[in-house]
Amino acid sequence: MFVRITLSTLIGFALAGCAGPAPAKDLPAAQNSVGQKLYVAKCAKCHKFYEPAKYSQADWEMWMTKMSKKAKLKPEQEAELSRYIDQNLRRSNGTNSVSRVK
Amino acid sequence: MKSKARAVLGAVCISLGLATVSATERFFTYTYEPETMPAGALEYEQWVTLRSGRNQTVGQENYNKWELRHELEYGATDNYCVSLYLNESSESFRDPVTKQNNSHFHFDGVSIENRYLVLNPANHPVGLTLYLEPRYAGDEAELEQRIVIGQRFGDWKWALNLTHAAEWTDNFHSTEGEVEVSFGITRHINSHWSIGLEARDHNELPEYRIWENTALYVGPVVTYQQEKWWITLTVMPQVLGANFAHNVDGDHNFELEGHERMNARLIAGFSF
Repeated sequence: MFVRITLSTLIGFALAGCAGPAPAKDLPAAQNSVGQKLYVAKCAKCHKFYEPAKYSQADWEMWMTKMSKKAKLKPEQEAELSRYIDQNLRRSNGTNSVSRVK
Repeated sequence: MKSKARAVLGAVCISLGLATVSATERFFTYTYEPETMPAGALEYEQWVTLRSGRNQTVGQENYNKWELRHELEYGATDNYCVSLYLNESSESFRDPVTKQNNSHFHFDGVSIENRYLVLNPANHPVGLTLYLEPRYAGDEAELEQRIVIGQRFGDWKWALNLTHAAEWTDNFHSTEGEVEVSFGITRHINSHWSIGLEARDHNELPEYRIWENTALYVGPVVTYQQEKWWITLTVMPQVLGANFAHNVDGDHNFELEGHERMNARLIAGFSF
């Protein structure tokens, strides 16, 4: 009985997972394809999107430094990624606007 | 970089108040996740596995086997990472016939693990990674292949592995096939802790002639992570097992000849 319940639970979890959307699947059309590739490869591959409006500028600075280092981003990649977000995600979702963070 | 740009970047890559997840962490110990390391990332992982509990019918009372793996992992590209392993083990048990305690240490050779991300889970319904790991130890060798799929949803994450391994022992005179299905699901509780469940079913096919046995393990998995290091522990008792060839262990609920009553694995990772 225990095994049946466990297997049923595991299969249920798996099916539930398969049914859901991918985290970065619904990104806006890329006006900056390099930036989008960076976002998918360096960011969304590992974690979900977090809204900047919920955090202070100081927190952004602190975590940005840590995560850029962890993701092995080069300065030009950081800049490209920033442009992509600013031009695309900010337009489609106001909470991503830098002006809202400040 | 200007503060504006830095702030925007932070919105994307930073998991504020949650976890500094970067694909180097492992949230399961028997089940791989599809994410590969970022290009240029380097990490050391220490593996410790305990396989404990066979019975006197198979001549191995108080059975304990400690397996140690020392791994150096490198992200060659954003989609491909390679690891070098040094493997060793220590086995001990008491022979119920001779009443002697047996213990020996064994160097299990060197492994090269290759993982290639075929489908990024970020922009596909399911992430897919292919895995190939050859191992060589002088008088024995092994070739392991895995199909790794998985996805995450908010604070939840799951992964499923289909594994086949061919092992050559006794100076390559014996061959054994192994087939395994493993699954894990976990939830990120806060910025440091994740708790979940892991299960694996392991099967042995000596000489590929018979399906000798199967053993199903299920147990909890817990992860603790910090910025530069993480640690994951799984404790899995055998919940069901069977020996199809002959009931050598005399047990009708478990398989205790090629498997143990309890498996536990701890992996600690340190990134550079």
